[in-house]
Amino acid sequence: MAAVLLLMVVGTGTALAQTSGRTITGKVLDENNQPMPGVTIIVDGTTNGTMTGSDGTFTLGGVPSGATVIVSCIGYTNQVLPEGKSNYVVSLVPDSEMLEETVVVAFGQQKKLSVTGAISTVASADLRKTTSTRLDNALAGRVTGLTSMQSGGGQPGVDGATMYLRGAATTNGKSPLILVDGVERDNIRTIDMNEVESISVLKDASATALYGVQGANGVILIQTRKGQKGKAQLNISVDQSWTSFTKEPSRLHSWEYCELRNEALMNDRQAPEFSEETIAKFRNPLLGLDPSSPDYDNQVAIRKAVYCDNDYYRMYLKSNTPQTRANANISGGTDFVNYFVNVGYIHQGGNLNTESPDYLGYDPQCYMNRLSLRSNLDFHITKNLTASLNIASYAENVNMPAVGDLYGGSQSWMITDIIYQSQTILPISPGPVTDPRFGGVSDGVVGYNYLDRSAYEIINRRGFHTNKRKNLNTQFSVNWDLGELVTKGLSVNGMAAYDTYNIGVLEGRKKERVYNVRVDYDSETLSYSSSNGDKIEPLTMTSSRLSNYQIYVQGSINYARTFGKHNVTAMATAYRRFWEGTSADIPYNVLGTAARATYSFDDRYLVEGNLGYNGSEQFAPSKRFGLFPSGSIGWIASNESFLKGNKYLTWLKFRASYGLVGNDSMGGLRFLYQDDNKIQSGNGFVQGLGGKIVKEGLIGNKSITWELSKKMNLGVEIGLFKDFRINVDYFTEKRDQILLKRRTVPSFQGVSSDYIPRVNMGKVDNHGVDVEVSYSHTFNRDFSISSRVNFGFNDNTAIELDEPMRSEEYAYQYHEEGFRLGQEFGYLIDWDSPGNGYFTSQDEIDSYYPYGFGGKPRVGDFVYKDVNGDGVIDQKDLSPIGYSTTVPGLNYGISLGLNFKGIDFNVLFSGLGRYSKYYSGQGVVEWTKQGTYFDWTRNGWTEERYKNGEKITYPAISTTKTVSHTENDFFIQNRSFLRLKNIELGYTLPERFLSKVGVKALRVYVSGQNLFVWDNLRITHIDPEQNNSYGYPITKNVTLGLNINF
Amino acid sequence: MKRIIYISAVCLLTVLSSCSSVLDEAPSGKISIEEVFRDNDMTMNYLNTCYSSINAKGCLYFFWSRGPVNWCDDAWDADDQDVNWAASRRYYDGNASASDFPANYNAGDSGNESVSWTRSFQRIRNCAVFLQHIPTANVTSESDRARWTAEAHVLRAYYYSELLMWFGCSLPIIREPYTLDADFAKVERSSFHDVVEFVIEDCDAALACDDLPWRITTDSEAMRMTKAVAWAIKSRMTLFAASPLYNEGNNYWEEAYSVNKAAVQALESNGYALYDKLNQTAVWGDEKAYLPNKESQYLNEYFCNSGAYAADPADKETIYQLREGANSNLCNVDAPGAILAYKTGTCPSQELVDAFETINGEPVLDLSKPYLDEQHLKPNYNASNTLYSKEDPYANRDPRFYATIYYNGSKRYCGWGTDAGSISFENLGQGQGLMTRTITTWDAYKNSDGTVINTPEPLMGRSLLGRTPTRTGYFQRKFLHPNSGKNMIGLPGPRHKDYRLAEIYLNFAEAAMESGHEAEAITYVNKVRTRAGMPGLSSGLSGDVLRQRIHNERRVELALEGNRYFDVRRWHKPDEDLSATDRWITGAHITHYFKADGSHGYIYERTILKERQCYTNKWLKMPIPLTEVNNMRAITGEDWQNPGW
Repeated sequence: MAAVLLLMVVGTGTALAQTSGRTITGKVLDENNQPMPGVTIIVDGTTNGTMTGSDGTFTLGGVPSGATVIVSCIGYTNQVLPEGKSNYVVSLVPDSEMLEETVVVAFGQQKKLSVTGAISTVASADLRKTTSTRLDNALAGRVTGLTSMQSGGGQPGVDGATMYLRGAATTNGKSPLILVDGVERDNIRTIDMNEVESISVLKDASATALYGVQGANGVILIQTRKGQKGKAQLNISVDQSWTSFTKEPSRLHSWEYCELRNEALMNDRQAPEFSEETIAKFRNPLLGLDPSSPDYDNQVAIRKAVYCDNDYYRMYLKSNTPQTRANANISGGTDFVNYFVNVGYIHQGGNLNTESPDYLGYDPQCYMNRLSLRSNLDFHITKNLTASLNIASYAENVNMPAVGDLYGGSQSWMITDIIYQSQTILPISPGPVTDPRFGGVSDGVVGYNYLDRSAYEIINRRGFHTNKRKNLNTQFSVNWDLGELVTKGLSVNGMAAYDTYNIGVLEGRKKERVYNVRVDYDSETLSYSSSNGDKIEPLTMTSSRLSNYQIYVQGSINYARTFGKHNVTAMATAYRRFWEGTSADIPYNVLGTAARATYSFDDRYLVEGNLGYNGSEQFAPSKRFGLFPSGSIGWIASNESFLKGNKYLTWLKFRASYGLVGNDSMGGLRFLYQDDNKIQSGNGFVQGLGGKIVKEGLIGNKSITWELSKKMNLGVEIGLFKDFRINVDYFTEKRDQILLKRRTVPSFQGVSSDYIPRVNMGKVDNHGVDVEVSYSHTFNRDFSISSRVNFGFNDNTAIELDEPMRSEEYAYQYHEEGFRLGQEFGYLIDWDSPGNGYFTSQDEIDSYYPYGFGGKPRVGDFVYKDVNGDGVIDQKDLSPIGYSTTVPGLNYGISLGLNFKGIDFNVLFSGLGRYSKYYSGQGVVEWTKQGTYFDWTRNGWTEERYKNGEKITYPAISTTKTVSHTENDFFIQNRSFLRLKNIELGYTLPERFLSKVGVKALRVYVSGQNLFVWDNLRITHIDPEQNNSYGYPITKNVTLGLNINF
Repeated sequence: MKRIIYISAVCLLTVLSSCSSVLDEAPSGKISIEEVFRDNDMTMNYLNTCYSSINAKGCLYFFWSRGPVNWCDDAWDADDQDVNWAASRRYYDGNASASDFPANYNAGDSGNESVSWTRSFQRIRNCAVFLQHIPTANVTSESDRARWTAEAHVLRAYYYSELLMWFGCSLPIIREPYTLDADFAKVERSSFHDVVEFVIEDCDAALACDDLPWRITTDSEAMRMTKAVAWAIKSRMTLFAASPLYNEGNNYWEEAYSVNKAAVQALESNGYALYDKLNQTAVWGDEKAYLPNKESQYLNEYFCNSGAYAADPADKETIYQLREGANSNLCNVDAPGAILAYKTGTCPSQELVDAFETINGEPVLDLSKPYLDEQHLKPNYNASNTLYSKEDPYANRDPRFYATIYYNGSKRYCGWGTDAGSISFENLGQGQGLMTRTITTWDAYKNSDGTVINTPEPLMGRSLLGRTPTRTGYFQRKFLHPNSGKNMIGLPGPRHKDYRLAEIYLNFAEAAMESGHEAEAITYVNKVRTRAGMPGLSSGLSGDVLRQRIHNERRVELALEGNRYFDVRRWHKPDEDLSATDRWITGAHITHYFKADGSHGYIYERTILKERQCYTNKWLKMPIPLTEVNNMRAITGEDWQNPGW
């Protein structure tokens, strides 16, 4: 079939440009008889055309006789100029079709005009401008109120986003529900950007109540593309990117390490580890050697090996890596069938610096290859009956080093350990392979006695691991228009989807001997000793596979009819979803019905009612089904006679909605209504008592039920001069019945707090504002501009979380209730102390309040405030610092697009704000292992720096955790950031060059993603979007691409 | 037309009606507590639940550490640098609070290796639930019912004893399990002594049961409770209750004396006896075990093996040993680090070494004031000891010294996984494999020209950095199989001996001494000394001198077993601190030198390690978890927290 389509493409004719003919002039007016600039006048079938100027006039030459001249403008009906005149006055009428523009809503579509809920949409063309390989990451900054963070880092194939819609209002599952073509599917991760037709983001109760027990966190609806009737259009695009890390630690030289290590030891009142002489030799390994010595070359080699200066970060992690994407899609339609077929390929290279696969015999690199295919077909079987068949599939390989028996089998732990080791192995440690001159074997892996494993070994010599993931999504639907059979406007619709997922793992494992290296600076020798992992094993292969599936069926009845100025729609649906988890666990089930009715009068007054009635297997039978009603009203004031035709205020609409929605997501737990005692066997148990125990788990609570969210939304939409559009929504949410783990029950009663029955007692309030301002204007044929600013603000307050109250001695008796979810608490540093927050002398420490936690402070440690005034610095002084660590309180995006002649330029900034994080542990602090030093620890507090008035960027560095290394307003940092998410410059070749070779359009572009980030972090080597301080870093890339339309 | 509406309506309704039952959970094997006690086997399994979180102790505290051994003046943990976030370093730095206490590091209550308030109470509840249901449970054998009941009593006593030892405070007594809707505002805590009485009541209930055995005789019953354990718990708990830290000004020594006397008699008359002869001559008697006399041989043999479960075992001393052996890789986690290059772990302190008497029965230091200075750098030598030599400090010592500690110049034959370095004079040129090496813990050497080079011996020398060197100049030997090492890694580590007869003897001796029965005290201390090949204490000893000797005997006999942590605490009054013992820990700074004739020798000096912060008054007792304290204060208005936390 694809071959046939290709033939059709080649067969499409080409039109020759006209160069001679008459000249016509004219003026274009709008419905209010005002001149219209930017209106296109074109000779049909050619590229010969022009645009009206600011006074609405135009002049077009080279119009052949008999040619059709078309006047067109977005939002207005096209007009054909009658032949035989040379001067025209054209009055364009607004396109009623435009007002018919539809939006995908729950279980259907709605006219955009009549929408009364809070719904944001994303244009698919915008998404295609990103070089992100993942749709969820590409949504950042494009949807008002949606927070999308690439918090898991940038490892190929495992670079998922965390999403929140309008913040969060629960301690349980916070993620929005995501549906692809109406079905909840796993593959938002893998959807090719070219397959997306539209994305609707449903935010308030009226939009989500139909999803009932699953709708409280909002819903994202993704529709895939369909073909349009007409000639086949083939689009091919290819791009090549170069990916690197957005932030990484700067290089630490060996002598710098020695000096910092000595500084830390001295701060801790310990003897320095490296002598001045040793450090001098690190700076200049040849120090004191006599070049005339006959043994000089040998001495140089030894010195360079002993006083090495290794950059393990760069040795293990490449500075950049390629990424390739290719895509071809074809769409079109005939009387019988509309088709859209897409094939996509992505190769994401990884940043590990692996040895050559030729040398190793396998490839342990982190990379991902994915081939995806989609075919959406719509059949017009009879005049009243249409059917659709959507098939989508992908096959991807995510490759990385073998996990084997390390890391408890966790791939993500392995990757973070590699990053951790690359930061932690000292630049003074020789490696990464043994040196035969010092008695080592040739090319043996070096280990370090301060780490009981070797990253070099894991990256290269332990084998490889490939996750092979495949899926197949199929979906068949039938729509039967009963307008003739029953009554006008009635139709029924049935849909069934069957998806399968297949995950295979192929792993080749091996083991080599690792040699611990020891350096003796006194005798200037290296020695190797085999470490305990000396079991050598050849490469052995293991494989495993898992598969699962889901089935979704849905039936619905729709009614839509207009009686004069009265417009009525109604819908009722029932659905069932059934699936198995990845490990063939107990099957999951969702069951529900939903109904909606809308009424509008004269496109001015709008009313809508929604009803979801559905059940969740999470709850006991008597608590299982719930009714979720919502209602909304709208008033399109600009359609009132007193505003109609107003030049300035072209659009004014008010919306209001209120309703109930539920949430049955319990943070991954299931069947909490049942007692969970099981018989468990194990090695540690007394065999004489059967070798088994009664594993007492959660005590069930038969009366638990869903979280209930009462949502209110007030919106206003304003259009000014047609070009400006301002949408403002204010929302409130009261989340009730949040399922909680009890915390005020004392633990000595003996039931673990994990197993005390869960109760629906939590309460969280949330409110906020979404603002969206857009401007787009076409100045003339050669120049147009479009820009958009969106801004989402949310603020939640925990009202009841069963938090035990602390005594009055505490500065804050509650740390959660009354604060944002995830509010950070810490010690307040007294920045106004004599040393600006740091102790500057032992006397000062001795005369200050004692510290009741974390040991004794040293000179150069933080001075904390005695907030509760009890004369001791301890937990009772903990105070709120910054914002939430889980949910950002602010998200925004700014985009700008310019088209000038064939050049197009687009830029997108996105950002998050009101967001904090406590940075701690590996990858952050300096005391891990033998000392890990980053940029900010290079200027730690010392008496010398303090007296010289130098900038202090860190407390006195230490060899261990001190009172400074705790939650405080140094380590709790402001994680707000603004990122240049995407920037793109493209050029479309003029058609006259292309038509001869049968190409309609050819565009080349260069783009960059995540190129810059501005933030307020004190820590300088971690991207603010990244959660794990030693996880795979977030990546940026630069891309060259080519896009051809046939 | 109507037909169509009908059909479509039916379609929609069928989806819902046919499916409402699909929301029921599929079979999952879940059971209720009532069902458990309707079944003989599940009832038995529930008793097993009561057993399921007895700590493994030994070197299985979090991160293969010897826990309390390293947190008192017995030893220093060589993991204080590279694993400086784990418990030992945090103790040393005083880095602890009620919400984050290092002994409870693995606070998720998932591991066996942490000291846990909540987990102990969970098991106490399990015992209470079991005791509540067992009278009416469907148990097929009445003797099983009786024995299981007795075991649950001993288990509850055991868990309470652990709470008392660590937290040392008043506790709620749980006879019946709490219901979750109980009014916790009415909860009352019983004093330390009252809880001990409850422990005794549980033990006595068990001792009254004819079906509870005195000894476990088959492997499959390993870990099960016996009458001997009940007596041992009574012995230890009455001793603790009478001790200064816990007695609240009352004199309970007579009670401790009589209970301990009964315990000793009961255990002796039921087959328990000190281990006093060598069984595996081929290993421990071998020249290559490097144990200088028969007492050091059988004592090392005793601690390196788990006791057998048999009617007439070779080991009749062990009363209760814990569930798991220390990992068979003990030689890689708690031994001279050079054996397999992973970690050294426990480094016995100079103070412990000083406590071992010379073979003639004279203490090395004056026990009334062992050190002249606060920092333990100036030992106050016992003037009447003529055998001890500062130049050759490890000669002529108590046989237990050689069975307990590897010191500079001692020897070890095993599979070594490391090469000797170029300045490893004693072991020069040795590669890896099976061989005898000298334990070399010097941290400086003097060249023949007299220059001193401050470089530790590359394999075993003392260093303040890294995981494999010793911090103190000594290594743990007590539990280390003489030959375990490379290619012998499978030699099993011993299970921790939680209660053994020698401790009961010493408990009795201490209680007898404190209650004025000094002759009996000396008799029982001397049983322990005789077994170790040491001369007995003279019968004339009395008062403070006798107390010092008994305390020192405990320290030596129970060295590295985890008792010292609790002993130094209970011997203090509630308002005192541990500055005399736990603030400054010293090690041996040893310089290797060559003599003119090419032979070599050592210079021994004392060196202090970092000042520890875990000696102040609050460290006498572990804090109750902050959440619990906050909860109880909110509910009852009473502050449960231990002083200082």
